[in-house]
Amino acid sequence: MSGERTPEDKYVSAQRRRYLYIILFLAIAIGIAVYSFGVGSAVIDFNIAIKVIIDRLNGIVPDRSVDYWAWLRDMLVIEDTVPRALGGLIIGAILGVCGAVMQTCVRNPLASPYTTGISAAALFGVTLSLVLGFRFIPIPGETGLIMNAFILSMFPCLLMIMVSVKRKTTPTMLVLIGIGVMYLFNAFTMIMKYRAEPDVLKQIQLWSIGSLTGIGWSAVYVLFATLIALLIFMLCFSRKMDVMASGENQSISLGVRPDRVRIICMVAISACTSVAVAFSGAIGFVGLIIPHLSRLFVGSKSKMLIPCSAVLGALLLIASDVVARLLGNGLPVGAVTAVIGSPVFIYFLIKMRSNGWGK
Amino acid sequence: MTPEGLNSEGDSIPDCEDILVEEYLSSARIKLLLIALLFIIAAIIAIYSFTIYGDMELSYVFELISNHISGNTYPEYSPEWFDDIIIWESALPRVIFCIIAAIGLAVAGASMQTAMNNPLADPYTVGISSGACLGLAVALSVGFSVNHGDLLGINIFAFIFSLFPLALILILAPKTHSSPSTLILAGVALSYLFNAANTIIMVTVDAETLETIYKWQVGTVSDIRWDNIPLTLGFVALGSALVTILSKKLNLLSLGDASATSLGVDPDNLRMICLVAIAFIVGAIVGSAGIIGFIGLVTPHIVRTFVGSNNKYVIPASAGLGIIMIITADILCKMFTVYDDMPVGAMLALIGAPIFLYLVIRRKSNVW
Amino acid sequence: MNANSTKIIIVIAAIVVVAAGVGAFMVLNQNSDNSTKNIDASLEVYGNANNDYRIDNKDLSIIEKIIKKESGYTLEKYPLADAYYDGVVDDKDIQQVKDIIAGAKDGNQFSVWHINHTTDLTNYPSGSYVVDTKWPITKTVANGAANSLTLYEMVGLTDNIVGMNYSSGSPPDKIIYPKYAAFESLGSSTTNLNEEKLVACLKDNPGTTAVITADNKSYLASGCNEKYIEETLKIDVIRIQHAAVDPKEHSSAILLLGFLFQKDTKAEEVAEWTTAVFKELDKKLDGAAKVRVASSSGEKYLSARNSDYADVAVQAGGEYTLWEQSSSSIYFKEYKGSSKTYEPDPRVFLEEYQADKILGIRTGAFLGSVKDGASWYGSPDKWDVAKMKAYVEDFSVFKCYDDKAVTVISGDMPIVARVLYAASALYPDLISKEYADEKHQEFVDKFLGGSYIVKDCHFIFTQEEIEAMKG
Repeated sequence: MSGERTPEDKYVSAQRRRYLYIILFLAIAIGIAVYSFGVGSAVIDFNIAIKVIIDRLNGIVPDRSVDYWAWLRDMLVIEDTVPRALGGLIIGAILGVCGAVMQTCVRNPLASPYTTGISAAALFGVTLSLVLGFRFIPIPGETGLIMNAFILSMFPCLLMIMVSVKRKTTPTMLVLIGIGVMYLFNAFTMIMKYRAEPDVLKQIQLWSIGSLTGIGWSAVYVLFATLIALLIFMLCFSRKMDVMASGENQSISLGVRPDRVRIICMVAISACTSVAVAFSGAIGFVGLIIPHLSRLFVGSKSKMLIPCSAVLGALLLIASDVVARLLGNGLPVGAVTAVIGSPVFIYFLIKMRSNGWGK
Repeated sequence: MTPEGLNSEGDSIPDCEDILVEEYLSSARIKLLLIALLFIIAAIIAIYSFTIYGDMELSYVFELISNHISGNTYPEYSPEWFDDIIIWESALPRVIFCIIAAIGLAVAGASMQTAMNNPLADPYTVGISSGACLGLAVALSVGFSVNHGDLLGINIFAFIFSLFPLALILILAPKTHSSPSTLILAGVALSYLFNAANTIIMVTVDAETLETIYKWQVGTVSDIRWDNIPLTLGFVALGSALVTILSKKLNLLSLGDASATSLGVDPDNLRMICLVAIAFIVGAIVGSAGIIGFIGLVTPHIVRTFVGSNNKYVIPASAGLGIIMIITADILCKMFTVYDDMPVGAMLALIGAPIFLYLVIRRKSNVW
Repeated sequence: MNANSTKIIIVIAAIVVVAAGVGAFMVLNQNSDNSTKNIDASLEVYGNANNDYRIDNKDLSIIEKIIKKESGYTLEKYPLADAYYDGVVDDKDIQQVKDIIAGAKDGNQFSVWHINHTTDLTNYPSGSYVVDTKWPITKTVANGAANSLTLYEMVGLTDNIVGMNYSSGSPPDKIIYPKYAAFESLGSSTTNLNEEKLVACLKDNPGTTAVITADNKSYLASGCNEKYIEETLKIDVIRIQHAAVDPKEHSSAILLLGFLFQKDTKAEEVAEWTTAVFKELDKKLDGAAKVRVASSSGEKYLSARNSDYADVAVQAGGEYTLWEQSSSSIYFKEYKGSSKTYEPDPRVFLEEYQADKILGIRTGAFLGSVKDGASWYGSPDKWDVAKMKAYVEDFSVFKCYDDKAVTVISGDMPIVARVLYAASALYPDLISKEYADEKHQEFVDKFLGGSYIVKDCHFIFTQEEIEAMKG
């Protein structure tokens, strides 16, 4: 046998390449996250941050009464910078995966978790709390706020389920229902916003764009748990999703009920996105463009697409956060992802003309 | 044997052509009647709204208006003098603006739906309004000020910035025929993008400008005065006239691009002109009142069930229904608030979003 | 000479002396309404040629000298001499000042020109502009910001105010200002007026010719805005620096209000008293090493240098450590629990910006719900101790927290009182809390009709006091 490669060999090397991509992106994402420790802060630079972390790992915790400045540096790094970077990675991953699954489910390349109305509903929940002080579950502080967002974001889901039970729903219809719900909740929020005082108004605006401020360790734990659950869930479903993506009739003949699978996936996406959105606000475009980018590297099989979307999402978000902090001035990360994302989005939009996506 | 043209009883038999012509004419007459009815109701509601704005009796309103027109004035600071100011400086421009805006938006919506062959198209859902709003934010941050009469500059900015989403929509046009939701999704993404750009601007701007930009993002008519009217009227009239002239050709677009071309219409060109006209209209309305959505979306659908799909009837009927909708929403706003007028955009969204959902859910699935 | 002539001479001398004495007395009395009060502020009304605190004959004589073109007397040197505000100094200006001195006759109004202050530096780079107002004002609509309310009370405008706009979240205190608290607000907040409500008020109160608002440009900026009120409704808009801490600016605002409503005497008394107290404060603090201070007017942020709260700290003798910033709030913690969007500015932790003492300057709502009115009157069991403790604890990130350097001054009070309390917090050895209370009570008794007893209230809290609270 000469050096000719069999199809099996080609496949194996292609697979290996895909795995490599995923690992590469993960490494880059973590690298950027570590770099972000030193960004945008007048007090902490990179060396200080690393020193603090190493000290902590060695068990050294500064005592405030002995050295206030060391204590301050330690606090800023451990309570602020590190959880924020971790939160950014995890939220990016969640949004990326949700976007990928969603686009597969509704078979539309322009779908994103944002367009199912989840973000709008979650935002309304937060606005309710900020302006009226109303919480569904009266827990003070952060948790109550998140519960508001979570509970309300189940509404679009429920609507989709109800409609799909009553009548046959095409993927497009699901998307449009999502958009309609988004308009509805935007209307509610608008009415709230108008009665708000100017400083509350600014809070709501920034939240509706998305920002990584204020993510502490408690948030990181919750987010991490959500991500793990999501990944496990989706990877179990990956085969069924691929089958469903091949077409309605094909899936039925292969023993997979497309509408069932679709709804289950949508519910899962809604739940996870609402958790992410509750902590960071509506960060758009990540769920929209990451799946496209992933597909370029690892193809459309869900088993590869989902992990790749996760790491690429993490990468995009943490990179946007670094850029936002470098530019300073209180620029929220959602604005940067929108600015980075829109040329990519427009490019894909135009490519769609010639490309055979859609029905 | 019966002579030709007569039946067995000796009456004349109408022949086929006559029947069709007569049916067409009578149905046309009915449609025109409906349109007239809509406008009459619109007029009644508009006049009624004066009593709400000024909290005064109808007869008193008429008295004030006729006195004002005939040049009588009241002694300064008398109650009548104040009432006259409220009606003339505040209520009248507001109602007139609502009428102009409703007509403009209805025209824009109906024609866009035909041009893009998409039942959900409307300047708002497609992202054009958001683009115009970004133009407003840019204008304010550059230093134009509403209070100091820079309305023309602000409107021009609104128009220019509405051209961005417009260009994208045009590029996307052919693709959207097979998949109507694509257009809407693109519109959602564009709106989000412009919102993000707005935020970036708002970070750099002070609190009062922030508040003004907010009001515009929601859409309000409560700050309309006489200086807003000429500009808006001019642009809306221009845009609407353009669209009305093109309405026959627009009808042909619904047959599909290929058929339209064979009938002598250049679809891309036509769409472009139509959308530019729409941008004129939207830029002017957003420039004074902010984003008012849903009128262009919902009214054409409702009137189509009564007058069919011919734009010759749909556009005026939507205009009439649009006027009814916007003034009713404004009256509702006034009744529901204590200190400040709830913005009419919010009320319209409250009414329009459920209708949008209804339209989506009720459609036969093969349409999507 | 015989003894009789001597007696006559003595009697005549006595009569001459007595006559001289009486004459001198009369002359002095005639000047007594021109006696110089110790008021270091200017009445910013055109006609007040010598730029002192009042329009009187002294101004007339200056205007006459300008007309006669005496050397050293020009319009450039005495800009306020142009009483009629037409660019020339002539008989019209003389007549105007005479009319002003004579006062109003039977409710007839005429125009006077005066200065409005504004923070809108884009359109008014000097921070002020000239308006004409129908004078004297008998009835007015006024805005309900807390600092403004104190001003109105000081000048005695309660009977002149026919309507007010305030935000439902911070209405006028029911106990201190019962009349204002009873007003239905004419707008959604202190900055906005609703047109219909305003007009209804104007119709109900004929003879209302003015609206008093603050110098901040966000007041009457949109909707029923200043331009509309002035030009279409033909109501005069008066802008005053209601939150001014600088004694000169503060007194100017008081004098202007006093003049416009013909309540000059009371206004001058207040201005004089204020000037005296501030001078005394400066004297007591003279030579002391400046304390580095930062103020905070809300949760989790410090006030920027260009805010009024920083001015209080500076007026109290402190050296302000923070920088100027457009939004005037510098966050040091993200707003956990209310929002997640305020980015803390890490510069605030740098050594050069960390203060030695922190002044929390809050309204009465700091203690609890204002709906009960004058919460500081109420017993401590009505207070929201948890919230108070949380506010102070937020400052634990700063070095000075270990030194128990946080003080909270809360409540609606005259600016003078606030500055004195701040000074007592910054320089406890030089200014005692008792001194501040004493002056505060003096003010309340003289100018606010004794409406509350300072000793029964709680206006200032130290860090230790709050930490020791139960709840």
